[in-house]
Amino acid sequence: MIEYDSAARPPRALEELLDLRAHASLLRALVTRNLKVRYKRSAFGFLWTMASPALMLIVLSLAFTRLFAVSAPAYPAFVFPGLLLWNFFAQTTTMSGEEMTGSDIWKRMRFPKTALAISTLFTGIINLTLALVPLIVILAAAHRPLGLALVTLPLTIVLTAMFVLGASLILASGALHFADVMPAWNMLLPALMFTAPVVYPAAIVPPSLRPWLQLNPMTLYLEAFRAPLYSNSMPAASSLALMLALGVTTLALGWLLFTRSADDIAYRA
Amino acid sequence: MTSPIVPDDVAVRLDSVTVRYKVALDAQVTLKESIVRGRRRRFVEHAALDDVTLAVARGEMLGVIGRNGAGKTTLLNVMARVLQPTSGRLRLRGSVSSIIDLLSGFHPELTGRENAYLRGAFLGVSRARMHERIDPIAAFADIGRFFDAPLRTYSAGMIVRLAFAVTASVDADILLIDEALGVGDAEFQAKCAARMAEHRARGVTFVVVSHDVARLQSSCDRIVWLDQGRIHALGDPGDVVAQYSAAQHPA
Repeated sequence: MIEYDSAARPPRALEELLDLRAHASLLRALVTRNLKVRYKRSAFGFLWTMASPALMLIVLSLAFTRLFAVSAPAYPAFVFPGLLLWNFFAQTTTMSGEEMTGSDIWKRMRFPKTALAISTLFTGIINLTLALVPLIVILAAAHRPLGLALVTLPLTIVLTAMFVLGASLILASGALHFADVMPAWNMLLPALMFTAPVVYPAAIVPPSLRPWLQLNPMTLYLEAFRAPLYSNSMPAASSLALMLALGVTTLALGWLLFTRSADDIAYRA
Repeated sequence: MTSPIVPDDVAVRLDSVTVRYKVALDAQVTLKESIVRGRRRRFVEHAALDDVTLAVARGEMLGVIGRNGAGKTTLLNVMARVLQPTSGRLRLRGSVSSIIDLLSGFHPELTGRENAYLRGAFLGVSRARMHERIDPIAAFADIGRFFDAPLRTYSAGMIVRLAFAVTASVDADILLIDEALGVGDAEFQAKCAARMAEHRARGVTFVVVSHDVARLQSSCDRIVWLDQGRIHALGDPGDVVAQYSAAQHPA
């Protein structure tokens, strides 16, 4: 017999985990919902998800292939992995922030509130994985060396996902308290994109400025994701360790912040 | 069921539960305003529930009546653990399922079938269990081919049917129902009543909010009358309803 006592609740961060376990089917149902809603009403389905990065890829390739001929040869093969990982970060954080603050589902039903962010994350991982297919085609067409280094991709994606989930939860905690956090985030994202080596190689940044790129946490993840795809090289073990440390810290911070304020969500007027 | 309730037989117990909303006097303060002008949002406090102490016995059906804004839905929300009490203590024994809002968890682009699975998942029902229940849910909702059409094509009545069909098919020990939502036509109401009788025979505890006072009087073991967040009267359905009706229509 399930028993509950509001005077004997476990710490919120732990209670949320127990709650997720009790709602095991919810994550799957939400991911299914996200995918179905996205793909259902259009004949092109998955192609729509790819439309934005594909268009960016074409425009950027037209603009920069010549400019980066030396620093990033076969530029489309260089920029596409960066665009995909950046989209994963930008879309997941924006969508979970908006979903967690934009609906009043909290006021009517009880369920672990982190499930929305986690399902948005899984939806993003699925889309990213599917996008690897056209990516590999482009890489092959550009005669990039593809090899054993690709085995590091799943690990990089998992480490990136930890960081992205943490960032989503931190953002949602802020958005719960202040109405302008999400609009500000949408404004900040393009600026953040250009302070990380998404569309340009880090090598073109003057050595004196290069350490500043590392202030953008996505720099680390972008380079680890791109290395096996673009140049068949594995990310350094030290990079992976740093990604793990950053991911764990961000996720722990986001989890604590969000679960601490989650009780108040239903009270928001 | 006016005999004193022994704790072991209690399914839901509220001790001095207060829910105090802060009602904002201005629109949500932005980060900019709070930094630039040091502005804080101004609030007045409103007690939606005020020091409510109440126990619902296992297998009991408790009716909740009161005017709009009396705290009926807030009471259900506390029992469903949607709202944490501002102060006081809530204890539950048994799993809870609720229908406090029709649309929550439904998505307009998904079919009735897909929405049934989704709502079930929100309520904590496993996928395997939903597979077993999906045909009975379709039969209970009885909306024909619309069960496989997107929810946005539904009439209000069909949404009610789907929502109630899912909740009525979930095995919970405690069912919280806000009937003020509307319950469909007479035939569907009869079907719901029959299903509730089945659940009651299995020992399910019910807390039902309704404006249909006469119906509550005939089906409930006790009725609680809420007024301005406080318990105005609690006890025998006949007595409470008589008092309530007298207050609504002063002679």
